[in-house]
Amino acid sequence: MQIKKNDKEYDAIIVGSGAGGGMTARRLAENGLNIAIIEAGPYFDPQDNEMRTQLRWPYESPRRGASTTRPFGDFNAAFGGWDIPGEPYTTTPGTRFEWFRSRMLGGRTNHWGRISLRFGPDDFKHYDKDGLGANWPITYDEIKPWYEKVDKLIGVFGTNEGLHNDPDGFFLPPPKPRLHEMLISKHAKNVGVPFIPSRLSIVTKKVNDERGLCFYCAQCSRSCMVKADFSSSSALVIPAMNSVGQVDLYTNSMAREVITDSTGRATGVSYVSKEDRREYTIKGKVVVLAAGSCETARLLLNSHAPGQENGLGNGSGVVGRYLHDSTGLNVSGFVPSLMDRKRYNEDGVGGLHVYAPWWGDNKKLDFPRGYHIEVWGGMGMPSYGFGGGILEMQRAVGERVGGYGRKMLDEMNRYYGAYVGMAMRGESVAMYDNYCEIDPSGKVDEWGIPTLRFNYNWTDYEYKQAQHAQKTLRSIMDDMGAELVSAEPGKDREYGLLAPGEIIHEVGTARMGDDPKTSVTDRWGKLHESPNVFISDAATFASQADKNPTWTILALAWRQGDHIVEELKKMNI
Amino acid sequence: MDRRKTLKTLLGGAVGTAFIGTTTGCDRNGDPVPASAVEAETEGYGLRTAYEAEREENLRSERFFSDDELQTLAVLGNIIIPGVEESGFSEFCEFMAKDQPAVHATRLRGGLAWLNADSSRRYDGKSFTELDDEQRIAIVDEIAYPDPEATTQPPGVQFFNHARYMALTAYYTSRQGIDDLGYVGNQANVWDGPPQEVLDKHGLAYDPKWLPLYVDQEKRTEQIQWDDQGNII
Repeated sequence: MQIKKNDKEYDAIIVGSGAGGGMTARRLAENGLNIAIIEAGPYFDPQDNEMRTQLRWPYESPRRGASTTRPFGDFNAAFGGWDIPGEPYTTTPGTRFEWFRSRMLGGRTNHWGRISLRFGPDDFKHYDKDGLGANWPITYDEIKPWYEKVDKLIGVFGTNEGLHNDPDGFFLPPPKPRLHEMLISKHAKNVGVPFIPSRLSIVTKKVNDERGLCFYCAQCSRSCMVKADFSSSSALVIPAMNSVGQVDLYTNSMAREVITDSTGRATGVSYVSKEDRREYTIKGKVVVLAAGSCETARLLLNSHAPGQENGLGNGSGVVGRYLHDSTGLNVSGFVPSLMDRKRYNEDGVGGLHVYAPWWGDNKKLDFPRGYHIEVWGGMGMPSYGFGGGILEMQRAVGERVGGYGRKMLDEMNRYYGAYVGMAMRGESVAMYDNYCEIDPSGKVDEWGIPTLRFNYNWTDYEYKQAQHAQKTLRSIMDDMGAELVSAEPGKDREYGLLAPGEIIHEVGTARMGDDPKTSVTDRWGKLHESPNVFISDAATFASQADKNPTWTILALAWRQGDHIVEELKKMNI
Repeated sequence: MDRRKTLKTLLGGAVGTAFIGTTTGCDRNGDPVPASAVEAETEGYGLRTAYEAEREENLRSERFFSDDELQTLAVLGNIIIPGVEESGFSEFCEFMAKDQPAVHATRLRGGLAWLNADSSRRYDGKSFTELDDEQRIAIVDEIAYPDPEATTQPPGVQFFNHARYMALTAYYTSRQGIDDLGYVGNQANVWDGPPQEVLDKHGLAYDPKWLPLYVDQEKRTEQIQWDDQGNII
């Protein structure tokens, strides 16, 4: 295939426009740099009324919001999912991994729950605590100033609780809790689990002139037309394009590999245009990879330099390894005391108003890492599948199961808002044997790029954590008088753990560290083996926490962006 | 609060017009260009990818159910939920049979065939739509009440469960069903907690520790300011 060349040399080329790429782009552009962003999907601006899915009604969709082509429903803003036509991946026999990709401006920031948690001091040094995995080469105190900048620029509501490993921040005021959230908080307290106001990057009070105020439609996952949620497209990339720097956005362009000279120095990036299926290269002084942990690993493994035949920056052999996602399981049930509810607008923000950060002490438990608890429920907008649980609910309250007509509708109306659920989201331990690699069978995707194969197994660390979570969540539900939908799953169903990848917090495939023999990047996210290739997504995470990764991606990307600007000024790159 | 006024304030006043930056255009002369054959479509109900738009166009050009089948669905649907045809029930079934064939196609078609066979056997070779109301209800009453203790249900019950599922979705996702249910959201508003009478009914109260910290909706448009410790001033 002919590779077309272009003589323009950018100060930096950024691959990917999600949280990491968006923040790096904004920092570099605001400092006047001339940058290119390579994005695999189309342009997306939630302020464009034609693109808007927010405030649409379920009957506007012929499938009434069903998740046929979008895993989180027809109005979800994120294109893509765990299966993308023409972009396959495989797993080794007997293992599972689900790889979620969103091909569009803003990437996966278009669908996420906006739960924005700082990692705490222990999260950067977990090896010191339990001897498992690896410490980060940096401390909480080093990252703290960058978390503060992110808080103040993007806005996150919450409360300062003085918790050691769930640090305070510069929070916007949180919204009051919903009814079921107050009920769950009360019964959780009864069984010793403290809930606090949640921490979501949604603008509840004016944070700056760029962003609108939340108008409480509960639809952040549809991306917000007034930019009251954090989406990388509207909060980072579009402001970057509107700044002093020159930003060229290459949409529908699938990055293929990093091009290097004979010394391993990057000179550019090649990509396949989805329009004409031809390969192009662009040149840059710096290359920043932010394609998502696994896509970034794939790019490195598909790139080669003299002496780096096993993948760019892969002298340690750990590119793709230590892949780890959050653990997750759900428990839901019907709460008879919530029947016959008075109707009022309970939409609230696009997510939970309360949550329980990890409250346990792992030294006294038989598993090493913690988890937090999320909640859902309430009188939400009906969508595909509404009423699907009516038989279980009739059974729970002793009605005759089944039926039809007005009587059935009256029953359904009585049950509305009485169904609640809780989710555990926990930390798994990064394992050398959990990895992604270039599929050894030689498969390529429809763009001709070699695909990934995954190998991932949960261990006893996660199984024991899951058993603890099942018991905890079920005891809260029991205390509330809930009728649970399903019996507690045993070992045969991995204690209800969702498959790795299903929580979409995968990290660690190019972890940072001080030792080039055991890590891929240095403490700035720069490859040990290349002077000008950086990673600004969660691939660099030495360990995930019992938190969502986005706020840490943003803090690290801001820090890295300023570092790149300084290094370019000093002519060090 | 006047909803229309709120909408105008929130949607128009809160942020300025978006700047649509420089998406590089397609240049055939060999410059590296991003591009656009895969531009997303905006028709209908918000942005669709090219794949989604093409897929939907194909689905709409196909026909799955026969006229007889659609008529039978409409008759049955109106028994399950009176007036559900106004909520687009049979059209929804037709679309879903093509959109998620593995889930709906054979279940619905086979169920309709079962229904007609049962009608025919019991009522001199008549199809379900040829029965009078009393006869239809006699059949429906035999399949509308699953035995909650049974591990498997007979075919007629399974079909009715599925038809009920489809009717509930069609109804409650339509304007009629949303109004019947009393869902009053999906509009700009200001959340300030559950009504006091609701809290009283459930014996719940705000934690006094957090009550002063919740957003004061009267002051939400004022610029946030913090002290050095992150306390809101």
